[in-house]
Amino acid sequence: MAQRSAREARTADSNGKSKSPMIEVEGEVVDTLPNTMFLVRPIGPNGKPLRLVTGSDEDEPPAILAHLSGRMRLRFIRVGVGDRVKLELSPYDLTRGRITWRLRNERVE
Amino acid sequence: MNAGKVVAKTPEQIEGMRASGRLLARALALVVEAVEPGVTTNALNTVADEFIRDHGGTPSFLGVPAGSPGVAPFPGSICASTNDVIVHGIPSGNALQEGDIIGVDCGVILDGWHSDSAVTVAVGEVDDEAERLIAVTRNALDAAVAAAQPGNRLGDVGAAVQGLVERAGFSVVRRFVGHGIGRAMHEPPQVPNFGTAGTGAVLAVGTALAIEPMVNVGGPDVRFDTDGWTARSADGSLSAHFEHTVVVGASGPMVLTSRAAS
Repeated sequence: MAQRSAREARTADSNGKSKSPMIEVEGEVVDTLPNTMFLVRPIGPNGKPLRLVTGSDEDEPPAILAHLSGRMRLRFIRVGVGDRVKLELSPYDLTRGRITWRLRNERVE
Repeated sequence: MNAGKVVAKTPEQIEGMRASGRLLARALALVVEAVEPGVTTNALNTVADEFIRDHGGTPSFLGVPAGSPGVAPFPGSICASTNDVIVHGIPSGNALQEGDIIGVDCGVILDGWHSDSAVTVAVGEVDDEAERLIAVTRNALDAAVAAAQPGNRLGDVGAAVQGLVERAGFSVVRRFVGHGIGRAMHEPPQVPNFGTAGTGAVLAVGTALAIEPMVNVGGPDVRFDTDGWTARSADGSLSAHFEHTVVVGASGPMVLTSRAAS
C-alpha cells in the first residue's frame, strides 16, 4: 500500500488554511500600456474568449488589466500584443490580474 | 513523517520477511490467475484474503487507518485499482470488463513481518497503449530494484524510475511514495519514484524497502474519490502500479515478493 508523500502532505496542509486560492487562466495580450501593464483577453480551455464578469453574451467579454509579475520584470521577459500568457487572478477582483508566464509557440501563422 | 531512523534488518529478520513475502507472492499469483472479464473485485479480494489466512498470515491492508480525518479505515484485504485508479481502489461488486487494466496491491503479516507487493494486469485483450503502460511500469520497477545496491542512494532508485518512465512519454505520480517495511507496513525512509541520482540517504545492507512506481499515461496529478481512498489520475488517463518488497543485500538487491520464485 503506497504511503502518502510527506512533502505533498505538508504543502496540502498549508494550502488548505492560509491564502485564498488564485485563479489561473490563459489569455491573449490585446494591448500594451505604460508601466508594464497590459490588456489581456482571457481565453478558456476551449480556445474561446472566457467571460469572467457578468454582462450580456452579445458583446465581447471585457479585457483584464494585468501587470507583469515581479519575477518576470526581474528577468526582463518581453510581452507583446498577440502573446499567449498565463494570468493569475484574485477571486475577489476578476477585472485585474497578474501575468505570471508567457507561453511558447502559441502564435499561429 | 520521514523522522525516525532507518533500521537495517539482521539476516534472521530477513528470513522472517522472506517467508512473509513468499506467502504474499503466492496469494498475488492466485489473484492474477483469477482476473478475467466478469469477475468482481470483491471476488479477487476473497481469493487473497482466504489464501493468506489459510496459510497462517494476516492480510495487512484490512483496517489500515486513513491518513485524513473522517475517512473510514481501509475495508479490503487488497487494493483493486482499475483503469484510471492509481492506487487504493476499494474492492467492490463491480465486474471487470474486457479491455480494463487492474492493479492489485496486497500486504501480508506473517509472524510479525510485513510484506507488500502489487501487480497490474490486463483483463482480456487491451489496447496497445495500455499494454505499453503496463510494460513500462514493470520495467520501471525492475530498474528501481536494480538500483537498490548497497552504497547507492535513495535518489538513484527514484531517478531510475523517473528516467525510464519519462523517456517513454508517461509521468510518475509524486503524491504517493514507496516506503521502508519490516515490523510495520510503513517504516522510514520514504522511497519516491522520482529524484536525482547520487542524492538522498545511502542504502545500507539490510535495508528493507517497498518500491512501488505508479505511472500515469497523462499528467502526474491525483484526485481522490469521496470515499477518501480511491486515488485517480486527475486527467482520467490510465494508470499502472507495480511493487515489490526488496532487501538491499551485500551482493545486491533481493526481491522477497517475486512471483517467479514462488
